[in-house]
Order: sequence, then structure tokens, then C-alpha cells
Amino acid sequence: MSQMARTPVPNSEVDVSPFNAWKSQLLEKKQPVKRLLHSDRATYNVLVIGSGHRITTNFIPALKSLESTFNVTGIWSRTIKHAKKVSDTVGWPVIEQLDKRSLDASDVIVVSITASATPQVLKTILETTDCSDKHLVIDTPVFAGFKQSLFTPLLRTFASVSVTEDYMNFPQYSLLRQQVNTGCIGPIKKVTMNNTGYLYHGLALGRSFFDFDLVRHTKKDPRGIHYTLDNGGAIELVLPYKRLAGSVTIEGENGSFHYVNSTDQTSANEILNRYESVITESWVNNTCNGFIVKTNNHCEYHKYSMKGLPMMACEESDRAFQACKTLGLIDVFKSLYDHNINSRYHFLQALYDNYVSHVSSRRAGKLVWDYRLIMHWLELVTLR
Amino acid sequence: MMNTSVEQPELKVADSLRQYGLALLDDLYTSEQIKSWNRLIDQHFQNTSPMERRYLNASDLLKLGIAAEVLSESLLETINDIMPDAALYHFHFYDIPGNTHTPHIHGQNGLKGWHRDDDCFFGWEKHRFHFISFFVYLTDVKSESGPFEIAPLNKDQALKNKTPTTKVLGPSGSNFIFDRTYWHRANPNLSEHNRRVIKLSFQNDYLPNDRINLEEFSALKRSHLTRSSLLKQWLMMKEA
Repeated sequence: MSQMARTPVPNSEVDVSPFNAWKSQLLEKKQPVKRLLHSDRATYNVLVIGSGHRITTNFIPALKSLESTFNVTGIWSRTIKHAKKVSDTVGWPVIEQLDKRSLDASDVIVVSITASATPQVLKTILETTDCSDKHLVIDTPVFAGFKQSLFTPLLRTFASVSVTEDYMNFPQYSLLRQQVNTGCIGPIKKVTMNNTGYLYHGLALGRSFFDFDLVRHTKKDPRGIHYTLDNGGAIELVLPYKRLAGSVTIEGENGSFHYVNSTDQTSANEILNRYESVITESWVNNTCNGFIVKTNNHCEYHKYSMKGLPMMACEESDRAFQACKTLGLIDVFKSLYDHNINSRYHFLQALYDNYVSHVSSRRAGKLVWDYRLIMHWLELVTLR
Repeated sequence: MMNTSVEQPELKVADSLRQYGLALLDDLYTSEQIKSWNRLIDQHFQNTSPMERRYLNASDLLKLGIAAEVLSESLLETINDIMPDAALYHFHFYDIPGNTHTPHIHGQNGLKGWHRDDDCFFGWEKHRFHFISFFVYLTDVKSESGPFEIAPLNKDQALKNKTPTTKVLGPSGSNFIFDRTYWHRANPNLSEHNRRVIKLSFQNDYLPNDRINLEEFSALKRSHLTRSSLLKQWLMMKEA
């Protein structure tokens, strides 16, 4: 009997568009490849630039928690008085001038200053020494305003650039990603952030569930901002933003998973009873000590502690939020020597989230017919 | 099963080739055979780097004992059904390294590797098959591991964006025939793993065939396999 054949099912389509070919070539050539710090070293020298609230609240406890790996060799600030104040608290030597010697002594340069001043400081660093073997850790949103995107070539001169987008690394969101990545709810269709996820931080968090797929279209209405991604995924940012007092829902083909903020033991219990698959804070003696992950009526506790937590300079009421930020920052530092989600979040992604979230939240957003063009613009500028 | 989890109606191989340029066959080889071929190939290449493109010609496949099993009765019958005057002109194995971002063949042609084989005739005797290839995957092929892809555009149609295509996905042992005059390509093997294929190509025996007299086919012509008259025809060995 002669052999029969099964009917072929179309499962893809031809894509020979020169634009897409150009795009993929560009991405292949110009996507910054993250080089990790040499693993043969026990410790790495860190130079900190900046002495503001962010340094005292998050960088000090994060670097203190990782002091067996990162050794801070100095802190420099435009206002030397502030640098000295930090030095008094934590003992980091004050550097009075950003000279070649102090820069050459460092493996990692941390820049946490106002975004508008960043290009000038980077220029000074690059004029002073060769940074091709230095790893830059820079705060979001990297640069201020669209005009400053012209400075992106400065960033390419470093061995690697890590952007401290710590919001997407908040422990509850890392746990949420871990859960949905097991495939328990099937392919992810939509991420909804209710009163949580500020501008570019929210967009970065949303896109982290879609492997940083680019935004194609956005829509703003009284409820919030809706992002449609290149591969059809959706992100909804429900306003107003209320820091931690909100929830994140991930909808997949086969179900949904939630993170819902609880403020005490009673609200945590209510949340655990209400949802089938949920993450919420774990409370002991009115203190949050980690998170509970509930799946199929099974609960897992994830406790968090930080060596540097007592050093966090913030109001008591702000402590929980700042603790999450610091834990997220620790993950960013870890990506310098080990791959994690931050390894894929390079400076182009951070700038993209910054510009897309700002444009889409304004009326001018209607004029942008395809938000992927913002990434192409950034790539073009970086290519210069 | 290959390509899709949904059971699809069956077609005659020739009809499927005409309509889609592709015929997805039922497994002609057992999983034990595929495992044993992989083992033999691994032994053969044990001292080479997995990053090199590894290639075995007909003569190598014969020495390893793989050729005899590939040229099974079922394959002979299947090809004979659609091309009674078939002559062989490719019979080889190759292995494409993972982590590559361009198709291994015609990758730089500006069409992302899409091509129609230039050794084919396109406008002549359109009702007949002239150039076909048979593939057996020796590794599991998923969408990121460089699957073969074909567009069901006939010989007169230009390649256009958004034309639906079929990527042939499937576990090791999956096998299929395609018409080399249709637009097709190898996707880049983005996965961590190498992609292994055994490929045979056929043309009508009355067409010029400058490959069948290559040294790599000589050993096959001298082997016991030529006891089959059909294989003699495939190797273009004239009857005494």
C-alpha cells in the first residue's frame, strides 16, 4: 500500500521585510552584551558617585549586604559635605576629586545622581580614564528627557551597564515571575497592575513577564494606560499609583495568578481565602517578614532578611517599600557576576521604558503610531 | 507525530507535494534505529568540536552501517510512487551547531535564507516532480532549533511577506519530502543543541546529474545494496 502524508498545517509566515531584516541585524550587532565580572576574583572594588537619599536608603544597605563581594573603595559627590556625611555613617573613604587613580582602582562604578546631571558626569569619567573594563551601575531612568538619548553612545564604552530597575526585582514580583514561569497558568496574555507600578517602573515590571517584548501601541483612558505588545500580550496600568497598596494580576491561557498587598495578618488571611493562586505579605507580630505563596491550597513561606537592613535611612512608615527596593537592588548587583533577569535588562531597555511610559501618559502619545520605533531610534543613536 | 498535536487528515504523498510542496510522512524508522544512528555518528565525531559543522557523505554513511537502514523498502516504495524514474544526487548527514543567528544555508541572501534551489528547473513540465528531497531529523526539532520551513507558493509565485508557511517541527525520527522548487529555508538554530539531519535528494534519471559519479557514491555502487534493482536505478547504474 502506498504511503500517505499528513496535511501540513501552516504555523508561521514569511517575513522578508527589509525593515525587519535591518532591525534584526542591528539588534544582533548592537544589543549590548552583558559581560560579567571575572569569576576568579573574590571581591570587586566599587566607586560610588552620588550621596543623595537613594544612596543612603538603598545603596548603603545593599552594598553592606554584599560586602563579602563588593568592596567600596570610595565615594564622590559634587557636594563634598554630603559625601563626608555618608562616609561618617558607613566608613567609605571620601574621594575629593574624580581622578584617574581613583577611577582606575575600581572595577564597578555606581552612578546615582539626578538624571539630568548624568551625561556630564559620564563624560568626565570617560575623559579621565579608559572604561572598557569597568562595569557601570546606573540608576533609572538613566537620562532625563528625550534629548539626552543622544548621549547613549557614552554608555557603550563601558564593559557592561546595569540599570538599577529594582522595582521589577521586588521579592513579590520575582516570586510571581517564578510561579508563572512554571507554566501553571499557561502562556501569559495580560498583566494588570492595579494602583501599582509607577510609569517606567511599572512598564519594566509588566514587560518582564513577556521577556521584554516591545510595546507596539498604547491607549490612555480614565482608568489608566493600556499597552499592547509586539507579540500580542497586554499590560494594563490602572491609575492612580499608590505605591505598594495595590495588586498585580497575571492572566494566562489556563488561569490567573495574583499578588495582592496586605497590611496586616487579618487582610493577609482574607486575601489567602479569596484567591486560589496568590502571593501576599507574611505577618508576624504586626511585622512583615516575607511573603506567602499560595497555590492549590498549599502555602509556601519566603522569609527575607538583609544584613544591611538596619542601615536603611528612612521613615518607619516607608520601611517596607524601601526594603523591597533594597532587595531588588541586591539582585541588580548580583547580575554583575551571575545571570538573572537584570542581565537582559540593559540600558536601551531602561531608556525605552522611560520614553514609552512618558509619551504614552501624555496626549502626544496619540501621535506615535508604533512605539517600537522608539527602540529603533535608540539603537540608531547608539550605533553612531 | 510531527508538526502538530492535532490529528490531520491524510493525503496522497504526491497530492500533498503538489499542494503544499511538502509531504509529512509517518515514521519510516524506529526510535531504536535513530538512537543507534546517533550513537554511531557520535562515535565517529568523538574527537571533533561540537561547534563545527559536521558532515558525512554517502560513503561514510555506508561505512557506519547507516546507509543500508536509511534506504529501507518503505523509502524506496514511497519515492518510487511519486517519481518512478528517480535518480539520487544527494545522500548525506549534517549537523548544525546551536546558538547561530542566521540560517546555515543562504543565510546572507537578504531573504533570511529563503530560496528555491538553483539546480532545479522551474518552468518546465509543471505537472511532474523533478527535484525532491527527503529529510529525516535525527534530533528533536522545535521552533527555535532550526526547523525546515516551506511556503506553499508554486513555481510562478514570488515570495511575499505574510504568506503562511509550515515549519516542520517534530521529534527525532520525523521525516518528510519536499519539492525543491518551492520557496524554503532552514531557520537559524537558536537553541543550545545541534540539529541533525539525514538528507537525500532525487531528480529524474533523464536529467543531467553531475553528482552521481562523485567518489562518495562509488562505495555505494559497489555495495551489496545494489541487489535492489530500484537502488541500481537510483545510482544510475546501467544494466549490463
